[in-house]
Amino acid sequence: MAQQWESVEKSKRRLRPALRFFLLALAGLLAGFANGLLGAGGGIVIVLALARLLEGSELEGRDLYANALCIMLPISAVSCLRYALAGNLTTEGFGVYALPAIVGGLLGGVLLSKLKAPLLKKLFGTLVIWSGILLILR
Amino acid sequence: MIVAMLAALVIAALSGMGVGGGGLFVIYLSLFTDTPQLTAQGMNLLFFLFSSGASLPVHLLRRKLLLGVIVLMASAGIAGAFLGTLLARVVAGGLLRKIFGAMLVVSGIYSLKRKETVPALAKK
Repeated sequence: MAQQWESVEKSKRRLRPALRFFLLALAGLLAGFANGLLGAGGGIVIVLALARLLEGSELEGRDLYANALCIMLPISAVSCLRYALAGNLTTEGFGVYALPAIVGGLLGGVLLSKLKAPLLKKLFGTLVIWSGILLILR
Repeated sequence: MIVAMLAALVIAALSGMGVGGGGLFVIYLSLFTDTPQLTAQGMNLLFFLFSSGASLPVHLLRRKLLLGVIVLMASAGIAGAFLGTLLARVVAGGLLRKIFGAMLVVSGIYSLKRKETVPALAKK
């Protein structure tokens, strides 16, 4: 299950441990900043950073997402709390979404192990760009 | 209400799969309901806690986790979250929505361009 730093140090990319440590921390800081400012978007920073900084280590793609998820959970909890304290979170009406969120999350976690979805990724990427443009223009 | 629940289910499944999904709930709330941007972001965070909290046990059992990296990046990230949430309160809602839109375009392009989930790590 949980691996320690030795497996990180096995990474083929020859970075001095101190530098890798610093860059990982910096990426974490950036991800937290995006997460706090935009309520989303930290995960992609983490995945990118892990892919670059731990290149050649024994992690595969899906492990990367799992690690990113574990990193983003506590960060999101803090951001969420800060939004709530600032009055920018209404739980009113959230009840409708809570159960689907839990069931969907479980489903996604199981599917991640089974599915290779290049088409889904393409569709999703297009959808995201389109929504981004809509939000900018609004 | 059924539509809302279905949308939430799909969004949660997508984000649990790691296809992306980070900002999808914000998109849903701002395009289909009249939730203000900042509130939508707050609700997205709460939504993520529910959906990812649910998929966490699956990942804990099946995936290789680097505990040291997680603790390091999460701690730095929490510091970043304080800075980010502080700035979010100052920036006007309209501008925040545009920044959010720009973030979506960039991450969308990134997810279209990359060939595998992660170039160097995907094999095995």
